[in-house]
Amino acid sequence: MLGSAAAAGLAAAGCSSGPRRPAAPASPDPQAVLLTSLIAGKEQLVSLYGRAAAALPDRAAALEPFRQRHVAHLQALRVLLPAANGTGTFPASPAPPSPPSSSASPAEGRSAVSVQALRDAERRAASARPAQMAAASPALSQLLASIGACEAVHVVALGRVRD
Amino acid sequence: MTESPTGPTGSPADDVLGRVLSAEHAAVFAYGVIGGKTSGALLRRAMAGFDAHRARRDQLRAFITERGGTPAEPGPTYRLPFEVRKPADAVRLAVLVEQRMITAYLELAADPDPGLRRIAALTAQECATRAYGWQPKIGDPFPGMGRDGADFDAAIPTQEAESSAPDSPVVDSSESDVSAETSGQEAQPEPSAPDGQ
Repeated sequence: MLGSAAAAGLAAAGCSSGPRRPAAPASPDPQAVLLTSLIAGKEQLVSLYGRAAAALPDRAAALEPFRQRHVAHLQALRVLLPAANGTGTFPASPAPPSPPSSSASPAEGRSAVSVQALRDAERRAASARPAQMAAASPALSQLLASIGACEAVHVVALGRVRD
Repeated sequence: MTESPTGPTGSPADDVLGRVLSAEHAAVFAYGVIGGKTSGALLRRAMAGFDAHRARRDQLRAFITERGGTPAEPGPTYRLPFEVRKPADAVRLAVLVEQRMITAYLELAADPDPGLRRIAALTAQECATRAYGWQPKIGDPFPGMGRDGADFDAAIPTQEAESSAPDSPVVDSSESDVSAETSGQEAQPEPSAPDGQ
């Protein structure tokens, strides 16, 4: 992999005016790997809010704007994912409601989600953003900084939802 | 640090750092005005914000100096987007300042230097949390990415009253999860602080 990367760099440096550009490599693109992981994390957060709303019907309306902001984050992350792995229609389609995934552990998947659990999840998400940004492209790094800021506010704002 | 420094003033990172520093200079000035128009809990909030921005300002100065650059000095005065006469004006200005700072730090978040990215990420979170403390309202899912800035620009020419309660939008119970700077003691404006405009 190092060799091919070096070769690609040499080729780019050597014949920058050449018409042949190296196509997207078939090997896993680190950005795509990172994005896939970020998207999975966001999907879990969205699903967590869905479960919290189901468990706390009287809070559902208050929690919905939080969930919607996470859905917006999810869509923004999907837009950045190269279309290599499947359809390129991510941005056009609204995010699916993403029911609780069957891969979640039974205890995780069925236990009632409290507002405190949402706060903890938001806090973990916000705290993880700086490290994720280190390996991100500039555009993704910027997006993650903004998403992390939103999540940090969520941590505080959820304190007003709690009874 | 992954990019070799190219010179005192030449590197893009220094330009970005300089822009963020200029924004922090303006934020410190604005918080001086905000502190001058508030009292009680709002004043304490203003002092905390003043201290936090001053600490970041000094940190940015140090970064620029370490890179061989010359940090810009603050301007003698700054023109505020609207006249700050009442506590409600001060609150509104504080929210705008924080939103602007988030935007400034998002630019730094794209820097190649992972250390600067980290600072940018943490500071953007602090600014967003402070903005919420001043005005507990969340709109944009992407703070600093432009829509808040548009709000800011739109707010400049007019001083329309907002629908929110004008008295005290402060959340006493809001935890300060991330802001932990305590560098200064006094919250006096450094330059004399005319209301501008």
